[in-house]
Amino acid sequence: MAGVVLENIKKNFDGFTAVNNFTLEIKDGEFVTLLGPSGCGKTTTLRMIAGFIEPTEGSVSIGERIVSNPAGHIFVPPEERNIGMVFQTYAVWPHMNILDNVAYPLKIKKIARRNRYKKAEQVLELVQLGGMGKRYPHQLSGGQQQRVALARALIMDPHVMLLDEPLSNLDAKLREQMRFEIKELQKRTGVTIIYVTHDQAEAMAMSDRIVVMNRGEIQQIGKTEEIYEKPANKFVADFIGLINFIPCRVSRDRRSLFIRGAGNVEIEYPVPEELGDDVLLSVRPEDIDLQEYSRKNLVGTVTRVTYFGNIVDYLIRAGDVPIRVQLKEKEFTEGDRVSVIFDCKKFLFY
Amino acid sequence: MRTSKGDVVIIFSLVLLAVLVVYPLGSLILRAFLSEGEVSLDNFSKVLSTRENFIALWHSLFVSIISTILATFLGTVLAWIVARTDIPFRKKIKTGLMMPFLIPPFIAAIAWLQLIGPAGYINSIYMTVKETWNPLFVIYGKWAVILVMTVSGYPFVYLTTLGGLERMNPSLEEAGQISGAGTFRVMKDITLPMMAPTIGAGAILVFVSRIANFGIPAVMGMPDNYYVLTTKIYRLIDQSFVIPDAQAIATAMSMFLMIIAACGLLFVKFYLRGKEYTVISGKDVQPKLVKLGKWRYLLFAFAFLVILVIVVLPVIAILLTALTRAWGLPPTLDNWTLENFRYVLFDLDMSRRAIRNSIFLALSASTITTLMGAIISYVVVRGKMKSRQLIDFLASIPYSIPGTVFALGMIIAWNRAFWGRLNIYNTIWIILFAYIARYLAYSVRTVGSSLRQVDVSLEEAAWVSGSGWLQSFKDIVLPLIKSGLFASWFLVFMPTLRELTISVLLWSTGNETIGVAVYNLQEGGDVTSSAALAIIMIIVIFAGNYLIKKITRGEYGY
Repeated sequence: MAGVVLENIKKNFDGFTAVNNFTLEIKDGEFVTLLGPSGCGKTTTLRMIAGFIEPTEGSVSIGERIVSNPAGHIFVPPEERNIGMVFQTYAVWPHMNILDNVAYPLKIKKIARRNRYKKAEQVLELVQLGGMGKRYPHQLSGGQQQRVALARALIMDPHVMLLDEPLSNLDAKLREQMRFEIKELQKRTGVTIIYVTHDQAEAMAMSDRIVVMNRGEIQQIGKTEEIYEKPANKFVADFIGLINFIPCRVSRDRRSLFIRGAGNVEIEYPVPEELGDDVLLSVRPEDIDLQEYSRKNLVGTVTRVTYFGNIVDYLIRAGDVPIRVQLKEKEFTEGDRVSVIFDCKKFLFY
Repeated sequence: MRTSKGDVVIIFSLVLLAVLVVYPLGSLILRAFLSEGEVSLDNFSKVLSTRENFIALWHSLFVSIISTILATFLGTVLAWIVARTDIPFRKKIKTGLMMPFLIPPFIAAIAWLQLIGPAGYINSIYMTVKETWNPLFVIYGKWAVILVMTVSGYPFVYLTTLGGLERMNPSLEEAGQISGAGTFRVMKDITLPMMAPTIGAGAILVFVSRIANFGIPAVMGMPDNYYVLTTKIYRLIDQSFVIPDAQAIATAMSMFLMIIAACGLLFVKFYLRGKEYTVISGKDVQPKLVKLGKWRYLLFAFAFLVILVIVVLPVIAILLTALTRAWGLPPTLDNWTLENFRYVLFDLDMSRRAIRNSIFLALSASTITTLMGAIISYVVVRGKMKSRQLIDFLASIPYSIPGTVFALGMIIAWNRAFWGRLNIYNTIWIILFAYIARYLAYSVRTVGSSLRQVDVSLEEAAWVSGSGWLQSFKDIVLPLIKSGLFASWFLVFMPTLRELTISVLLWSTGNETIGVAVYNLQEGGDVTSSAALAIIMIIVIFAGNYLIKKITRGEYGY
């Protein structure tokens, strides 16, 4: 096991910068997720750790060893990095049975046939595929193939395991189940995991830390709660969960806000000096309450109600401002006039 | 497909296929088992017991197997170089290596004869330089046949393997690499085993096309008395007035040919195709290219040399011959002339007729097969009844069996008058019928694949809007499969224009094709005229290929 250090990584593809200014230190045994929309550079970063892509600048170290450093003319090829990797398409070899698939890394290491099959059986046991070794990949379901890929990555006791959107080809139910299984596996083996996904729920369910990326740059690094509750910028706030952005003007005494699109309704809130006179009030739907119409508050009309079972999602229109609100109960119907009450403690500004 | 109109289409298709496919093949098979008016296996025992007939069978297997092995090796290596290494000018090399597909095998054979034959350019140059009468080498007969079969056959393996390597999910190889295997270990443990069924399928296609080939053994083997099944059948039919039982023996022989070819194709269809690994590819990751370092130029030189030797040199040889005043004169500038071109285009009646006939045949065959292909593939793709499998099967037979066999079936079936006076034997119509039947499979496949992309709901939407079946076919289906129809037309036009195997058995004076004209001129010793006509053909083929590639944006053509 080992940690991974990426220092000032930059990757250019024919004039296009896929990853820039990327610095990250991953501790031994940590579960870190690279999260971002497609094209944000997360897979490129992962492939630079694996060694399939050579960075243009910067350095990558696994454990104590520098594996990529163009300035120092260091490049260790993937086959010498002792890394486990799980691919989006599983990449289980169709011409080998399960046991041979899993034992392959040990075959390369010239471990005797009996020993490597014994180890492969053990690892298959670990991913709940005990006794399936003689089958061929086409006889397995997608979820089982993904477990084979996990077993093959684990068998070599890798310094670090890289998972590239491993669950995106599975159906929703299985995907949720596998999240917990992967997390459980990591706890049991203590392996360092770097996980790439565009699915925030996946990231939040498993990660010790999340790295949010956009356009090749790190937007924020933090624990799940930090990312959700204290997003570092507008992109992170928008990308993680739902959020309302409401343009406001700050009063002269800086003790209240005026919502511009809604007839300059005033909300009392002490605004810090550094924010300027025009702010983007950001507040999540669950931090807003709806009450019976009352003249004192911000007033809006319910334009859409969606019942999800555990929550009810409302779209309110207050003047020109659309506001998403999520409540536990279905209390209002379309066309109702309501008061919109904000939980001021949860306000964020950009 | 709806009720009565659908039935009409099906019955129409079945009748057409019965006349074009079932009748000639049925006649052929019946003839093979008939001896002196009784059902027997006599004809087959005559093939196996007569030495020269048996030897033709053995020769067919020998040259086909050897050239298949060589072509498979060459095709696989070249496909790997193009798909997986960082050689310079990869795209150009990739296209260049497909070019042998465009040169008709019998023209390739003629070209190679002029290059390496006993009186070929290489020997002439050698003898002139060395001032000797002893040629450097004499390649004739079986080794010449094997050589040309190899160089004109490898593209089958090259194309299938290249396609397989390009479609292969790169993660599979990366998974090997991350497991600790180096480049060559990944190739041995993962790439090659996964490609094996694909390479095998390509190899069998080479084998089947080699054993069915007529042009190469006709040009390279027959003058040396080296006969294979196709040329032996040709010879027997040619001499059927002299040799007793010739037709019966030829028929039995064609059964052997058909069975060998059918076994190969069935093996591919039912065994190898099922084994081919279809691998879901997720993200669009470029397959990683092996960085060859200094080997890069060596492999580039190899691929370049292959193109030079296999495509460029033979074409130059035949072009030089076409430009030379008389065969045998050194091809120096003062011996150059355009006289041969003028002769075949404006003077020689036979070649002028052949050009006219071939253009007529190609135009009508491609138009008729495309129309029929549209109807039949509509039945096959949209139909729900069992008859659609029968129709699909019948339409694919004439292309799956060797051309020589099918032509023989046509002879036996149509060599008589119907209703007293209708007789198409010894007319151009028998060739047209044969072409339509043989190339129907092309248009059924091409139109069918574009029809499969038109979702049935598009038609249903038209029906719901109140349009009838014919109306919706015209308004909705036809415009959407237009490119498929166009491709089908061209895919039939090109090979019928250059066809030899069938027409060489079915032609008669006045009904020659270009292929027959080139072949007869060559056989008759008028090598320069033959070469001039061949060059004209090559130019038309390359121009046509370029055109179809441009128009279909690379979907068809090489």
